[in-house]
Amino acid sequence: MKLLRFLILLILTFGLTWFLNTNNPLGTPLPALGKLLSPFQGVWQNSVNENNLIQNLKSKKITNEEIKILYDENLVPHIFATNTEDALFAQGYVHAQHRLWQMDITVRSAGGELSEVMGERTLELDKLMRRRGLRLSAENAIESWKKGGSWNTLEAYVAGVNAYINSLSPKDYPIEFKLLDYEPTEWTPMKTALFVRIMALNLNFRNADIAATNTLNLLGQDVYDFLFPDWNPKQSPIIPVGTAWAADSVVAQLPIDSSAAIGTLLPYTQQSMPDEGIGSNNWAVAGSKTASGNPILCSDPHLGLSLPSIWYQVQIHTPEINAYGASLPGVPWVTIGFNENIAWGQTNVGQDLADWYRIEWANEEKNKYVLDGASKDIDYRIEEIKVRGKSTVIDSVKYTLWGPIVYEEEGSDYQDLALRWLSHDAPNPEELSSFFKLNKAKNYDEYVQALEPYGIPAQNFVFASREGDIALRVNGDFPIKKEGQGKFVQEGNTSENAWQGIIPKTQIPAVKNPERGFVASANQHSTDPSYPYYYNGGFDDYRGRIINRELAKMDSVTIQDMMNLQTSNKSLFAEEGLSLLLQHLNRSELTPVEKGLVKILEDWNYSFDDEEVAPALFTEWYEQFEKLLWDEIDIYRDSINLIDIEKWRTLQLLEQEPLAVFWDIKSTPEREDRSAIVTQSFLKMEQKLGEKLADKSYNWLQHKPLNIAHISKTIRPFGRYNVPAGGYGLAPNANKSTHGPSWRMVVELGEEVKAYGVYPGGQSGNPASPYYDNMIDKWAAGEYYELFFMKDANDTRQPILFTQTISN
Amino acid sequence: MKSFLIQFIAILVISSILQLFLPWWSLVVVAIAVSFFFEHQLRSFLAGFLGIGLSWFGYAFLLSSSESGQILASKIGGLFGDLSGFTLVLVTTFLGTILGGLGAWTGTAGRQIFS
Repeated sequence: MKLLRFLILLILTFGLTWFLNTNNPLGTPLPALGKLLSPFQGVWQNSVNENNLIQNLKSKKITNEEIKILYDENLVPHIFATNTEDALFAQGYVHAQHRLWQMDITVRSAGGELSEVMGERTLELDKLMRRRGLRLSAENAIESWKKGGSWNTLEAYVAGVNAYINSLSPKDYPIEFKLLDYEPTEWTPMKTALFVRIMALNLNFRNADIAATNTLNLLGQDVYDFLFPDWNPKQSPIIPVGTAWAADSVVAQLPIDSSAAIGTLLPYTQQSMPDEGIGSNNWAVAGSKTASGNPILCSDPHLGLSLPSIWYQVQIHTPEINAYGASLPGVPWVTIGFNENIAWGQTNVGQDLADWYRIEWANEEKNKYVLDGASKDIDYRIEEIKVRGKSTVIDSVKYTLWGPIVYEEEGSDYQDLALRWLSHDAPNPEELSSFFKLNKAKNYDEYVQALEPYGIPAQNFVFASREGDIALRVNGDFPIKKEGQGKFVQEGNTSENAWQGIIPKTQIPAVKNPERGFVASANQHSTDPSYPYYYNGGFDDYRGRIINRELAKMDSVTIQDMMNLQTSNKSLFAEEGLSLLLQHLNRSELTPVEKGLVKILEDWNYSFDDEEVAPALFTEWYEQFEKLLWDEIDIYRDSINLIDIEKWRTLQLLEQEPLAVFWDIKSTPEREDRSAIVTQSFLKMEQKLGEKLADKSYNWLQHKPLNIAHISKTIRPFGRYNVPAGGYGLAPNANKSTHGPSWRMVVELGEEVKAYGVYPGGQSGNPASPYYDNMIDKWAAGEYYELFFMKDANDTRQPILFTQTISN
Repeated sequence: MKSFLIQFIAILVISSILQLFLPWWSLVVVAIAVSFFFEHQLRSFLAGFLGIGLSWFGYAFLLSSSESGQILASKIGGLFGDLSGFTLVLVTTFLGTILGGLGAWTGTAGRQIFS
């Protein structure tokens, strides 16, 4: 009896312990509650970590000199070191200290290693990343970088990250590791390379070849050319019209190739693309236009907004460098920032750097393909994907000389497509030195030299110097394409369809000290059509134009003027689009309520402010308008992937083409004209919003709330929702529902550099920390912090919260 | 009474020290092991219940009262369907009491086999 009682109790006790120590025990959705809630080891400990940073770290990996890290009121670390390697060691350390999980999960995503910790649900995502060649791209980068002169800087950074990781015991792991029940692993140069390559994916991978090919084949060449002209006549390109191109430009001796598109419809849905919301603004105004006579540079990159934030502020100070700005946890150096002499920033280029090729198989087994009449062997790359709780999945990816075959389908009419993505290429071995040199550059020549080896991802780099120069370089590795090449899927059996080389850095679009007194980019076309090299891609048509227009008008520019422009909610698209819609609206049969809505729209100043209701009315009206207009094309979208007609072209049609066949709504017996479409869509808008409008307080904030979710997208309490930031994707303050200005920076380069910045988040990645999201309110209100650009470790102009030292 | 106090304090102190660097479930082992030296089942259960319960309540409550502790408690509470920070402390305590009580009872039941 006693034995029995003991055994039963033993089983109960161990059973309960097991239950509380296991994730999803017995199929329940519970986490390991005992492990998680133990005050000694579980998530409770994460409230301690935040305030318990190691004050004096010892590490053999640095020189004999002490490194000092001073934290200011926003928890920005100011690193004071006597040499470059120590400084990067410290940067690696603070990146890990505040953002370790973010670094881990981002790199797992990039490397297709999510399933190792998340299980089967992320398997398809991992497969996609592997097939897209992210790992290969990172491996090629590492091989190249090792040959260059700056490899030691990356090693120092990696050592710093690992110094932090190695100081952790399980109770110190960041919360997300505990919630997801896994452990941090060592950082490696490969992980940094993966990080850079997933940024490249987000920035330089957008392509529409498949959808465009389908659209072309469905509509025919004439209609296609009518709907998708290459050039928007209203465009105001990044490099001002009239800028001379480099003297030794290669003028197109290349054979003009009418579209080499394949002639059949493709059954594939375009793969998930990096979001459209990824764009940015940057500009620099010369001293001739500013009130102070000093150049002012502004940069605000637009990315997906999440917590922890993508950016992390840091200052790096050594005898030869004193740089401050936004950095990316996982990557060394200041990425967007300034030093005592210059400032710089990036926006994304719209160039299409990913093309697709249809493979012609040479045999039934599909392991040989045809190229230039000869049969080539497929190269197999075996990708092993670990899956938590299940056996490892092996995906065998076929590689051609073009690149990986991402799409493969069985069946009688298969279309196997290989991907040629510029980011797969091995970069210049000195690419790793680019940001090193940029961080310490003192003038225009050094800025150009710093960017010379930089290729991936291509960006528009804006520049200003205390000396008085302003410049902008569309800097990266760009393929030399034939006319029309890259818009559609091409045949992969002839090397005539390949890119003809890479545009030399001396011939990329660039401008220095233009007459107009400012340089600016907002993802619009790099150049007008006079640029000798052909390129295609996706470009902004509204933010660039309004920024150029406003800067051209300005005089005696102040820092506040620049902040006002960065946070401007005014959209040129609304200005042009709404005027046209109102012009063609048939008002004769509108009810008083409807006339009331028209009045609201007419009184509106085109500014997408949260309190206004007009933005909701306008965007909904336009959306309904496009639906009615493009009905004859939209009916195909269920079965096949097609591209969208660009907004600028739609408005151009509204303005200039009253006789276009598209105004007619196919499903009705009447033949509608543009006025009918405009009016009907207005009424549809009213119908759709009717209930919501009954509440007089309905406004833009309610219509399009801005949500900053946790990176996991599943841990809801770690996000911030309904952030009142105003804005619109086609306004300078380009807030969409989950994307927006992820960093805002304004720098005046006077005798003393003055800088202002803010981002929607906080320096700490610990959700328990008050510094996790402390800057969001100021950012939403369009306000900035004055950045503490310390002259030396004894600078006391702003308070220092505490100091850390790292010594040998 | 005296033996109860000794058992209670022993469980509380030893388990707290060990949990600083051993996995969380070491508290169960402590509760069982300590209670093996005590013969009264109900008192053992209470000693474990209160010993672990108090240590978990105390530490969780302490940690939840700092600024970041409050933020943490309310966010984690939010994960479990909108619990408040203090409710989370109570849930934590509850888990500790059950495990402590069961473990201690098991230990004494084991001792009983030999008496």
